[in-house]
Amino acid sequence: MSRQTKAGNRRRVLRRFLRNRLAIIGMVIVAIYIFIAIFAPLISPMDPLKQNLSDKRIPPNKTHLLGTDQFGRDILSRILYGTQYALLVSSMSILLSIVFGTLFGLIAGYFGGVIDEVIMRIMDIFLAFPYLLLAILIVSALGPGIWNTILAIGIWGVPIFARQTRGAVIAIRDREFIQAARAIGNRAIRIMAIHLFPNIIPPIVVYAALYMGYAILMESALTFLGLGIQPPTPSWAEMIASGRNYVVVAPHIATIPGLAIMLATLGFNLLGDGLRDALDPRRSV
Amino acid sequence: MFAYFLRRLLLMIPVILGVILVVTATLDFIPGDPAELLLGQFATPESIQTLRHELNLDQPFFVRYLRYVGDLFCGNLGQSITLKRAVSEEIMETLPATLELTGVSMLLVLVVSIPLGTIVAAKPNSVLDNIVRLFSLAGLSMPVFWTGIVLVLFFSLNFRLFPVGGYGGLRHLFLPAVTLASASIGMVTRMVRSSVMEVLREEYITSARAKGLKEWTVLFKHALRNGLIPVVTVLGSQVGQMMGGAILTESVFAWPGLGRLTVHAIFRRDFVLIQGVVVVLALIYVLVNLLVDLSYALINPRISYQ
Repeated sequence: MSRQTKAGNRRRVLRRFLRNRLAIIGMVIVAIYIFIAIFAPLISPMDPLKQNLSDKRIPPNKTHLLGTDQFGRDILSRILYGTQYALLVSSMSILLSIVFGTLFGLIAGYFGGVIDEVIMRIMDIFLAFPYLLLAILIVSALGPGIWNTILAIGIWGVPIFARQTRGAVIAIRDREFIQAARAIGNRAIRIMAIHLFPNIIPPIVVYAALYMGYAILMESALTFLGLGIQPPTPSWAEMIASGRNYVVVAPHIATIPGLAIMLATLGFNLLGDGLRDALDPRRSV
Repeated sequence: MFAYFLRRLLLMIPVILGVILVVTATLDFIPGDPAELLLGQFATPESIQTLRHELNLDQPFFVRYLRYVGDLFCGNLGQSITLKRAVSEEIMETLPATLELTGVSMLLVLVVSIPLGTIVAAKPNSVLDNIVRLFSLAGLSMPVFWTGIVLVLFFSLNFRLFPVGGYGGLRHLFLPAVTLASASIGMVTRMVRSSVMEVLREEYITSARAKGLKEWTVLFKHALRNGLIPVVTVLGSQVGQMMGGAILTESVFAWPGLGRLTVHAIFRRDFVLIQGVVVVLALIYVLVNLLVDLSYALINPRISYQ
């Protein structure tokens, strides 16, 4: 493919993406969340940890736009700070999944044969665990906390990215430019890094966006079960879990943080869908 | 066909052994001495010694693994530390409630998603399609436990239509089932829609229409049947999704199933119990996926299996 048609192709993908209204909405939502995560200390009206027991469980009003929780902490500030932890956990775990998933996928897809068989059977074992259960097992053993949660979600994603990468590698493995690279004596590691890897970036990006949404949901689930982010760290799911006890007298404590989770996941889903449609319009869902 | 069945069955064995290997290995992830940690700070040295022996921690890893595999096939999953009962007994007692919940939820998914996905596939980008698409996306973006809390708030506390939680007849089952189904309904509806849309582009659909068949007949008799083939695979993965979702749903609705048992085990750090639940659910999931693959082979005569 000449450089010119490559650029034209890129422009076509970009145009398709920009024409998709839902994809743009998704991108804007994600951008807003990233902005909030970076500038949380500057835009939060109050200290997310400061308790004020005389002002507890107040419904949304002028001083506390989203009300206060059972300890009198400002819910808006806790949600804004919670964005940092939600994005930290999901992005770090997806990064872990991508690094190891693509590595295994590249090796399995490029070498094939016994190596492929062994790697993919191991991946099958991890895929055999129902959603959430492997993560529960890992964090229960290691002990609760942010880093163990990242590790557990990251491990869950490895086989998914490995499968995706392997499929993409097999599709191009026997093309002329790879054969040519091999014929002039390039080493396998160089072929994988320089020739194969750039070609599998598009599907990886699509999956990364879609799985960011899943990672956010998984972190919330683990935190809700008491395994993920620990109080008093502001976290959306922890706010729901502890606010659940006051759902009769102060329903806003448990319900509002859920909207933050839903909107974040929705944003990443829309973005991922849009990217997939733009890169491969025939496989749109 | 029979050879294919047999091959699939044999391929399942290494996966099952691998799953058990992962589950036994996680005991080694526990920092420090697992027996000491699991018994808590008031444990006597004798009880720690006994537990070490019971968990086979005094044996090399490989021996521990083989014993776990052997015990599992005899239906022995060890002894729960906090409940002082056999893990297998606890699981057998709570499993039916969980199967009831997930089964009814799956039924709900099928009843809602298949007709809805097919109808919107016929008129892409219509108002109805956009509404369904938005709700599907919202459904799979909501944390299950939050959906449950919101449903309780509206239907139990505000309108008093359904009980807040607990186990009983259909009235008790309704809200948990809707909660658990909500995410999967979104996923499966999207899948049915795209799959039926794909089929509608086929030539035999054009000829069915040209022959003067009603659009309804074309859609539900000709398109849906082929459109459902890829959906079957998604349903299999949704079963796994629902098992995880059931743990959260049960915890919200105090549903007396495996999920509530798991939550108890997590809070009390009863690791043997957690291992048991995970192994049992993973084995069920492997079997479900086997059945899905086999039914896939049966309903899709175009694919031949060697």
